[in-house]
Amino acid sequence: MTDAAAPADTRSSSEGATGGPPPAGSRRAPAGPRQRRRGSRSPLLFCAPFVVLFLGMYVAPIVYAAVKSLYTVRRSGLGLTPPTEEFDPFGNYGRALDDGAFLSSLGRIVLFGVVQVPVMLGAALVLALLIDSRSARGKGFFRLSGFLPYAIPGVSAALVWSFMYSPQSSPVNRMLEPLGFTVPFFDSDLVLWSVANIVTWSWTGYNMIIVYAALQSIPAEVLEAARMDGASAVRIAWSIKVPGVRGALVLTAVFSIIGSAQLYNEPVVLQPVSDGAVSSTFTPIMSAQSAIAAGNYPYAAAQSVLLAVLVGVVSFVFFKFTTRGEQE
Amino acid sequence: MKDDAWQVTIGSQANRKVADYWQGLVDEGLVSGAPMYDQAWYTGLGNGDIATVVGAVWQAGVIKGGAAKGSGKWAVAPMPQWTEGGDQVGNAGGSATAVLDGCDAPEAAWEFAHWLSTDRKAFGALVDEAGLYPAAKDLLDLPQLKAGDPYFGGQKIYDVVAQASPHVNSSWTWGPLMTRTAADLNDGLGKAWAGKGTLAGALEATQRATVNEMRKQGLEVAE
Repeated sequence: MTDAAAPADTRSSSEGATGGPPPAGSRRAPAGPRQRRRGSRSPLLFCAPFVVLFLGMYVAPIVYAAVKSLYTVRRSGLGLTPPTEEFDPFGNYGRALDDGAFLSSLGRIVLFGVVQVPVMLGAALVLALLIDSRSARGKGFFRLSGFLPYAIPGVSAALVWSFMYSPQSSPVNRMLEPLGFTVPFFDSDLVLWSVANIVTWSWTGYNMIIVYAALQSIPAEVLEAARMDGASAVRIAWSIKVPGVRGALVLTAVFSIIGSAQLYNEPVVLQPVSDGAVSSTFTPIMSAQSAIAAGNYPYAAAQSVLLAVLVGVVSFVFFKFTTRGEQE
Repeated sequence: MKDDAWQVTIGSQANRKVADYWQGLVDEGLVSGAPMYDQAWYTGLGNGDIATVVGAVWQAGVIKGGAAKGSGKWAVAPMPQWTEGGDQVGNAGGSATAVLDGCDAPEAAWEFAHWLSTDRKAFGALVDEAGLYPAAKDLLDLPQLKAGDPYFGGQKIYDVVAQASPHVNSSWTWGPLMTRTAADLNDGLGKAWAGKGTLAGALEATQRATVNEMRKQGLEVAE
């Protein structure tokens, strides 16, 4: 804190020298030379763009969707007149909880998250530790190349991977063929892991950077003390570095849980070439989209709200569970 | 038949016959696995792996535009018939120009839509560029519809279309939830292709899902 305060003080005193004393009537900050020159409204003005966008682009659509989900669409006759919406708070929710396609899409992303998130974060942690180790060479190169997949838009990445998977074009299978076997990437049991592979490829480097940044904040004297005590590099990694980046791991895990729940780009890109393995209701968001295809926006809203609540609860429980011991 | 209720016929006996026929082709390995409009599909059209495409008139434009290597190897023929001498024809796709509710200048928009579909020069360009066929009968004598196409070995392909177009079955219409119906059908056909079910089963499942969703929304369905 003292480090940060020093340059700030220097700046305000130099401003004082060129700009003269503050105009009369401006309120003085209780402590020292830092003064508020434009009254107390400026913080509000600075916040306004965020608050307006946050309310307009984030809160309003959520509230709108939540309200919409309480109505059911009613058409009549041939449906040539515009549909009406009837207030029926449990109509869409009851239907969603009884909708086999929607429930299996939820099951699919739960399975996806339980397997893919630990694999990806484990790989990110190991890569970050390797780059952080004292004997590592070319740190900058590996940091950048690991991070690079994240810079490629998800849809583009999925397109390239669909080419790698497609039975007609897969260079992977073409190389494996002489060995007498091929990988059925679009088998209905395997396709979820083909999707997981794309997501892992895209996001491992991103998580690695976050973990690596956290590793930099471990005090050098602690690491030095461990080395003085004769701890091996592996022992230091396990007993000092991993506990030291626990916060970063929890953070990336929560992000990844949310990301799994919102799985959409990759399966949608694979869908048309997947020989039917990726259905139009493969993930919960795709299922909501398919309700929209049926002109049933309130039902799509109800599915979205259920997904959001589920993600909120899982993230909250995970966060509580993993940070339980930290305050004590 | 009720006039104020939908008849959903995707799972009909007639469709089942078509599905069973195609199931036979699939089981014998006669249907290409290349996803339509994928590069592999265009490659197949060009190198002879794919010998036949069942499609609407605009499919000629797609083949011509996407598979340059197939030039001179393709020709347009009437749809195969179930009964000898039959002339059954259906639509696949098609487009309409609509003026939306709330349009600021509906008359001008209508004027444009009318021009787009009836002006000889405008529609002539659409024939050349996109392989479209006019709905306006006054345009049936467009020179573009009489010319031989070098891609199709000089065949006057629109002569075939001209013979078929008066016989398009107009007692059929797209359903009110067609986007969803198409997605359900796609899912079912995909599963059948992967060996989990049959094409006829996909039609039945789509019929059930469509009727179910229509009734849930309050639409009248007579099945």
